[in-house]
Amino acid sequence: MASRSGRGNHDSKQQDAGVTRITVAGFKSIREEQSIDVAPLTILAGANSSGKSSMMQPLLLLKQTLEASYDPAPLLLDGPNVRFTKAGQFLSRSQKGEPGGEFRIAVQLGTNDRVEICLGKTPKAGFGVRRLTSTMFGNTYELTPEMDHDAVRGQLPLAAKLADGSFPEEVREQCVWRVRQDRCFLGVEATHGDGDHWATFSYLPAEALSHELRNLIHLPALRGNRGRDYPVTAVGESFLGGFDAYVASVIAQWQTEEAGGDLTCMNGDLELLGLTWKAVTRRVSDAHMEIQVARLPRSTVGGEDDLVNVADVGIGVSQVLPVLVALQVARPGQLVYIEQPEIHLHPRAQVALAKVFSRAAKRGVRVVVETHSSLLLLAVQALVAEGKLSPDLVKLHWFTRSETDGTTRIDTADLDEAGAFGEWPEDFGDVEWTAENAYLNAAEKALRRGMKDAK
Amino acid sequence: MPSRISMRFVIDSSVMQAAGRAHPVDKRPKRCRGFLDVVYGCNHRVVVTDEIETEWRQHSSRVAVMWQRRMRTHRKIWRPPPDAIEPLTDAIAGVESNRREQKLMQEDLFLLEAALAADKIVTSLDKEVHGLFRNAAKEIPKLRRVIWVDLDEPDEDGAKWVSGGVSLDPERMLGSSHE
Repeated sequence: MASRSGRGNHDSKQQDAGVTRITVAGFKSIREEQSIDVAPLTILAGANSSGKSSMMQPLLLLKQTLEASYDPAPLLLDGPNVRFTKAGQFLSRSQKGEPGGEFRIAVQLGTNDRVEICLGKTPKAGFGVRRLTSTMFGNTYELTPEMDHDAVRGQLPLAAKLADGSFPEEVREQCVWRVRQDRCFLGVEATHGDGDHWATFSYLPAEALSHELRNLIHLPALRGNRGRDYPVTAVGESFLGGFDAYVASVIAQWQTEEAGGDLTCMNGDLELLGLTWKAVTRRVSDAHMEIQVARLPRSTVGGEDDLVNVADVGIGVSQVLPVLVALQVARPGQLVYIEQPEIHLHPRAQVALAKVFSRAAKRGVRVVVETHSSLLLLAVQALVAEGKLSPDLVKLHWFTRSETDGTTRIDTADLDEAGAFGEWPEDFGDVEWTAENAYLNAAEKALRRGMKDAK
Repeated sequence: MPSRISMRFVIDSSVMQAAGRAHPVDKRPKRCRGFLDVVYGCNHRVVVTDEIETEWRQHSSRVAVMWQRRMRTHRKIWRPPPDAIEPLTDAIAGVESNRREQKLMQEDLFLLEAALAADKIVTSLDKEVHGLFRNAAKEIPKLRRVIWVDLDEPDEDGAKWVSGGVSLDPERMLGSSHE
């Protein structure tokens, strides 16, 4: 397990680490290019089918492609994070309903580096990587599968320079350069050989992005009732696939830590949410373990051993536990994408969840939350207004679907010191106001009807 | 002349409280909700001082809390700088009135002080205080141009007036019968 030394509050370096901006075009309802800045606490809100998930799914496609046990080049469509069977299911459709030919995903890492990948139908290989553009150290390189030796060398002086150390000077000029597809990315390869001996140098401009994607922790909306047992898994820096399979093993590892800070923190969060005050794991076989939780929400005298399997308490516990564990285990700069963290949670717990997100964000974890919870958003605003969460650490993105062509529009807002976010097309507050108004108006009518009937 | 610019309204807690009620006959609750809705929707702002906030808290309703949250979230709250508030206590104390009337005026003075620091618009349901301030405006010239939207008046369609552009009609001014 990697050491998580950066446990204090965030600093500017942490704020600049990891994925800082995502741009998508041509993917589902995001037909035109749309971007979101990724802050330590990034909230994606909006109506159903407004495109919130579509902004993150290209990243998940890349992640599951990179993590596949075989090479599914260029994309693993049906995987543990997202499930498609045909490219036509995610390529944006035109006004006439015809699927487009390509989609683009660009990811900015830190303040300077950026990788853009364009995938689509290619003349020779069906669906494939059409183009990869990488900006590093202030230089931009563009690779396409069709590039020949001269084109590659011309595009990648940096790669050539890096290769200098791989080949003796006398053979360097004799190297043959070509573009190589590596799953969902393009890289370059320089080879030199005399028939009997070959030497190869490979360079992947998207290596840093690949690292971030493998480390991305994904908590889907349907975190699934895993039944009574969880698999025994390895626990490392990255978590392949969905995160929920690792939950029990992470807790088990925390139980072995002498200081026990992580376990204490998780239990504190469970109590904060009013769910339980203790969760532990117990090995039931070489392959499985169970999670046991305290039956009562608060600690009581003699209640230390009053534990039940997590499947035997309200589903809210098993649904939110992966969220709490993920936020605790994530390192500064690591991206944690959580879909609908509020599902199955009582309103009071939804409000408390904001404090858990805030703590992770202040550690520098990049928490991207897709939510329909007005209470969660309001609680984040309150934390900012109370001075407990810097507004600089929060980004709000409101997704709207066009009623005419179904495309996504994203409005972005920054919170001010008072937790206000200014102009948005519509927010949860508007919906609640309208519903409250409708109720009061209807109640007045009902009362009038009652008066008439009484006469 | 109707105004399309963002105006700053002082809204009495009586409006906030009434907005949250459901009454079979009384039209004021619906009128108040309609008024609050257009103030938000037409991009106007609400004036907030410590006194106004305290009154809102004491006489609030669920719908009022929702409205205030919308206004705050969308930065439609305007808080006057401390030196913009000019106390009217002494001026009102000099107005010819009995002890009860004086007490009522002094209790709601903060509405006028806030309005004078903003765009001189007060919305209220308090007909009695409205009448007292109209009387006070005879003796205090600066009160005469304050617009008082009395949502207690059956003919006062505040929502229509706001959505129509907040015209500065002399008949709504406290000094309307004196100029």
